[in-house]
Amino acid sequence: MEQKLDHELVDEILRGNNQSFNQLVKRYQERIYWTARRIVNSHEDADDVVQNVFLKMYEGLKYFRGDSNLFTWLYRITVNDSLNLLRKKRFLQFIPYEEYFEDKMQTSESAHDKVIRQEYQTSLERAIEKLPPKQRAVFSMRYFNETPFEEMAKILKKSVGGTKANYFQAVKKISGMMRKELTG
Amino acid sequence: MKCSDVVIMLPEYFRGKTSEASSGNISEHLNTCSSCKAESIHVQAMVDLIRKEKAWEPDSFYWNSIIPKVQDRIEQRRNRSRFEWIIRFIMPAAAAASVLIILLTSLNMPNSDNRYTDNLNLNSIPVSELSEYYTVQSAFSEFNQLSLDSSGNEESADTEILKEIVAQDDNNIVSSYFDDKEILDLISQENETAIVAALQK
Ligand SMILES: [Zn+2]
Repeated sequence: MEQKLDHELVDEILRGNNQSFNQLVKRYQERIYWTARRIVNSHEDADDVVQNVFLKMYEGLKYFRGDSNLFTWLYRITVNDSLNLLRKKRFLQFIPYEEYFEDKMQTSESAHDKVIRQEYQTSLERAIEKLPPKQRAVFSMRYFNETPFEEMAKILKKSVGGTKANYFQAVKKISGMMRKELTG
Repeated sequence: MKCSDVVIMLPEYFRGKTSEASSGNISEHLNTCSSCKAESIHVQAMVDLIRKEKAWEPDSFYWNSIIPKVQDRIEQRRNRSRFEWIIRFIMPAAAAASVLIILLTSLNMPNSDNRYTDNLNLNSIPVSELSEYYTVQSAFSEFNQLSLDSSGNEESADTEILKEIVAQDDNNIVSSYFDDKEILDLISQENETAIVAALQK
């Protein structure tokens, strides 16, 4: 079966074809999930971001210019959404644990599964947990997606030098924390 | 090659993602520069460990659940905008409309975008505590606190490299924290309502 190009699917969606929308979701859901997951560092939060990104895609498609790259656009939304989520969560640290997690517990994953999964957290995930949001984003974008520094600077609305410095700090901290774990 | 150019490329170098020319330059530099060599040992260990580790992955059940969930939310949103449309046009008198708006806000309509802030009762948090987390000082101290190790020498070497990286660009590293400036300002004004509004954006 021949794969339709993004802009062809976008045209079809704008003409009311729901199936084409689903096709785009299928095409990008994993890339978006992993981009988000490596920044927010949790499955539940990554899932939230994924849903938000596709909702925004749905609402924004009519403004989408055929000559620009759909994934680049989705990627930017994903990173910014992930950062926004982390920023919001920083404030929620003040709220008693039970109150905050009350509604979170009703997600598809059971509390038991969650405990099991956290036990299997990788040392990278444990290290990322300790980084400030922007360093997480820069590290993940560079390390896992090989995003050019210029593009990252654009996404994060900061200078290329600042982006590089953030990346340097992140690598430094992560390698330091992993070293500590290894040597005990 | 400058040290700052080398250290920033080390992860890619150890992952075999650098060009042949760069790889040559980097290994040459590592042979002659002891501080970059020392740094490279840690980065290499990190790359090796990340390669070995396998992160928890969701199964096909999850991947198949995304489309229905997104479709649900599109439908919800459509219903809500229909609802909003009715409100706007059925109530002709502005006075009547304003009464309804007051009513609606007190109803606490479900809105997934607000879920993180809905629970946030800022009245229970002293503003002085909030600002602890968002002071400019914390941004600066992050800049200074480069190394996890307390060994003073390593830290100053880092600062030099970092300065060099930043110097390659016109802007200062501090600019990287300016995204939060809006919220910072609001916190300094102790404007709680505006803080929540900014977070909900
Ligand atoms: Zn060097």
